[in-house]
Amino acid sequence: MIVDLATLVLATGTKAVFQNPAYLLGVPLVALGALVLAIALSPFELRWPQPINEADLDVLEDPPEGHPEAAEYIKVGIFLAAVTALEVALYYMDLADGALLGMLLALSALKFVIVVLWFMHLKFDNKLFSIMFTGGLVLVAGLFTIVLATLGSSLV
Amino acid sequence: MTGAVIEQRTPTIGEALRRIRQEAATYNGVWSWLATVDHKRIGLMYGATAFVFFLIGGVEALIIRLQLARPESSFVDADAYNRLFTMHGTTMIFLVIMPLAVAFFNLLVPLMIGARDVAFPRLNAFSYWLFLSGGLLMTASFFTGNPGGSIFDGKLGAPDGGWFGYAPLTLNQFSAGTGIDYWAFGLLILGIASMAGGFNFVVTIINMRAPGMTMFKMPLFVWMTLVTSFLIIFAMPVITVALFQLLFDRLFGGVFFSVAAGGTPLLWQHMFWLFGHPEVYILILPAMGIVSEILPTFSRKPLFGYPFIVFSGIAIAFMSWGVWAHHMYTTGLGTTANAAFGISTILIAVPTGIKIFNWLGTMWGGSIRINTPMLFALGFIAMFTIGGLTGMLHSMVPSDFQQQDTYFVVAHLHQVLIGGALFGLFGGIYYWFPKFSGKLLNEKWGQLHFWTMFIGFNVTFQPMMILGLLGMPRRISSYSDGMGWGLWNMMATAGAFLIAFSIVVFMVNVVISLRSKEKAGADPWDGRTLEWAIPSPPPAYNFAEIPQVKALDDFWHTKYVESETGVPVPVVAGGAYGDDHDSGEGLGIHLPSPSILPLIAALGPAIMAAGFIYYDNPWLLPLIPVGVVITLVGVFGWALEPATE
Amino acid sequence: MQHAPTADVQHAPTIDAGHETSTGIDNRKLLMWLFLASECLFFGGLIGTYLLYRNSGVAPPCPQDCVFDGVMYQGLFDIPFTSISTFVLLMSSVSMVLALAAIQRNDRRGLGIWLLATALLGVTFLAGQAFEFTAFYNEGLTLNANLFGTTFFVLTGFHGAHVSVGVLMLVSMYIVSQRNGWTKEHSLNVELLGLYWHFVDIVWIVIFTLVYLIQT
Repeated sequence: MIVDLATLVLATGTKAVFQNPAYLLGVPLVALGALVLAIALSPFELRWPQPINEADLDVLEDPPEGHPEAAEYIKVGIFLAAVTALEVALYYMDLADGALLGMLLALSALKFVIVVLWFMHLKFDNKLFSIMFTGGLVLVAGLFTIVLATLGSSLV
Repeated sequence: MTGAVIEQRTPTIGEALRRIRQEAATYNGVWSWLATVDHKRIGLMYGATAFVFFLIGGVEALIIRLQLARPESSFVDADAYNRLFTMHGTTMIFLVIMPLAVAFFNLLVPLMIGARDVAFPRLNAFSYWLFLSGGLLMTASFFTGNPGGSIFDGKLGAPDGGWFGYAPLTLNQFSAGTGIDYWAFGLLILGIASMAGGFNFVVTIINMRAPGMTMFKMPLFVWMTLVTSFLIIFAMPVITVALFQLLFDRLFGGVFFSVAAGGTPLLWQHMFWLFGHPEVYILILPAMGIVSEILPTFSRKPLFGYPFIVFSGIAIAFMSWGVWAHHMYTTGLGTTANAAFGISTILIAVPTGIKIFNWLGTMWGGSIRINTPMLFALGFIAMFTIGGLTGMLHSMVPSDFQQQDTYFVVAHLHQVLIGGALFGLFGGIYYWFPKFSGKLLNEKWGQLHFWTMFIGFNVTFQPMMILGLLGMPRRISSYSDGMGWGLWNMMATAGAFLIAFSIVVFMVNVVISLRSKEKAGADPWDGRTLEWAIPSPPPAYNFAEIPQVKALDDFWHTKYVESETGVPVPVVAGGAYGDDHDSGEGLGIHLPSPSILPLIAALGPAIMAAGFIYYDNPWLLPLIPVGVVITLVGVFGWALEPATE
Repeated sequence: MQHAPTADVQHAPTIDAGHETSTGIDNRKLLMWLFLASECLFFGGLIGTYLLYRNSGVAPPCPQDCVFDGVMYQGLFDIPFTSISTFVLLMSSVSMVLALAAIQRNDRRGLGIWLLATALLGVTFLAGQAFEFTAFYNEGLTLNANLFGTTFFVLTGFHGAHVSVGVLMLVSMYIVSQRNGWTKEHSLNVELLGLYWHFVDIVWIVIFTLVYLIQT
């Protein structure tokens, strides 16, 4: 990719980089790799916190209260994968447009809610977080529904 | 003589950073300002920077007024005129009123809630430096943005699309040159700075209150800061998206706003005003908070209807999301939408009215002292009421069809932003100046400032109301003699220069007062809130001992008890919250250490922006990766260095 | 002094830091949730724009099969391919919570493995996106080809940028956690990065349905 990019720049000037959106994403990826390498091999003195006593580390403990165990996370993950598979299957079935739309939106919302409740712990965490996050969601959904409606656009 | 050669070793980056931190912690010299994380110093820097931009925006306004003073004037050409009014509006809103309000947030919120700093001191410094770099980037467009030449050839390069930058006026087709690119990137950076500040103040107010200070024992200014911060958090992302879309259209040939490709420029208007109307309340709510602090102090009465003022502020914030399309009545939204937005706009006057009546109730029966802060607060109430009522005229759809794009709109928005926001902010400056400088502003000069500004303001903007009703459109660089607008325009110009004079009076006042020998003392106004309990200027650690709060206006209650007839009686030796110390050292207080890294991280975005603006120049394109690296170095260093040593 | 001074609690042992605040909520967690609430508006704006301009284009290529001037153009979307990258991103969320579960049990080695796994899945997703972008580009869909090109690349590109930032943070966190011997005292750091990562995932859940699956 870097060779391609170099040829392109030499042939058509820097502006061409932005013509292919893949480069917009690819260049940062390469940069990211380089940066990670630089950090890993960094000669600079970085004043990180002192290592903690090694003796403490062998003791594995139970998860803190209110947090599910790893097994529960894996169950939730399997369920999410199944829902995604169902979505794709629905896509290939010959369904009426309205029914398909409704089911896809419902399944997507289901996945969204499960990730937020379990993986982001809103089910177990302070209600303030839920209020703020839901506030943002409801606000943006409401605002853009009105904008789309006034500009004469709809999903179906 | 050859002594032992002392080897001069170059310090490692870590050592250099540590040296800066040590130097900055002494509170002396340039490093201590560049690396400061002290909310008071950051607030002062916000205020000073905003005032410099205020002078720049003011000069732009005076040039505009000179051009319009007489018919068919040719003081500046139409192109320069477009650029001047665009920058005047953008500067005054984003680089003056917002940062001045943020200056007060910074200076006051931790003091009023009894905290030693904000929740994230380094993020706070980052906000300031980002604001400064965004403002400088935008202002730099004057020099380089014009394709026909630089400012030295007499060509201004600033953006020319108006402060709300309507597409397609801002697309390449109608605005060649890079002015709009500077404008859009500048606003993006300022937006990030505001959001970082917004997050910081919400967390600070929710989490850093002194023991006993429940939400409903907070001073009203703190409440308005909280509401404003939430508005910033939710409104800024919308304009961020719109600005990115505009930049994709301008720089990379995107078609978001291209009618030829099937798009609609109305999308920009919706996105801009979705942000823009909450923004209006972002500008005015802090001033309302300031006035709500000044009035009780100078009336020697508690704030009348405190919960009503709090809830009406919250109501305004909610309703501000449902009124944006009243800026767009004439775009053909349809009768239903126009009626709905008309009604919601009329309704938003209700909470505003509640506030005004409660302020009047606060003064009713109080023993009122008329000092300069009080004069500005009273000026605010009178002028803002006129501004609000002219806004009501705009909410009526048929009436607005007549006023759209006339000077009536210009008069209305200045009535709200100068008569409202700026009067409130100047009141705040006079009120809290002694707290942060240790000196009172001179009362005689202060009154001269107020009266010249008040008269100048009315002489400038009331004629504009008449001009609007006579049908003079906004944003025209010239008008013919036969229109009969000459007299009113001349009046407005004269008034503008009177305002300029009043600002000179203010600056003289600041210099005189700072040089005066007289000390203000901790509590010169007999104040009610916690910031008056500590010395002026406050020590770095604010409170030697964190106060235990028992009531609203807690500090007042340590000074006075109520007699049986309801008259406040001074408490002997009241009003003291622990004793004074010069430094926090002896008290075992560990303040967050200074850090230069927020400044470094904040340099990156503006450099990146310059790289994007000139990305077809292979010599300037590398500015993009340079900016990215600078930002990452700053952010990584910031994440890895300890907050306190 | 019974009250600790105000400071970033970034490097203090964080699990109990919340108890010093007025609400008992940790400052940094509150900041992260505010940031995510604000990001809802950002992605909402981008998705709203995409929805507004669906089917408004006046030139090919299109996401699904379309007809212009009597000529049939094949749709660009490759649903099986995108389903797989969606699945990859979803699984990265699972590995992210497993990283959190590991450090909460004081299992630093488990933390390292799951962080790297998450980063790897993230990079796989990004590689898939780069492949998809290139394929679309070769079919004639550029940023300025039509409304679909502009709205699609900007929406998914900003999402990809968020994933890239997440990967950078995951790898950095892996290095720091292993070099400095993180214990469960540091689990809040992992939890906060997890919140960001899951948010990026749920944004993709919405994009996958609204942009890819819904055809009308």
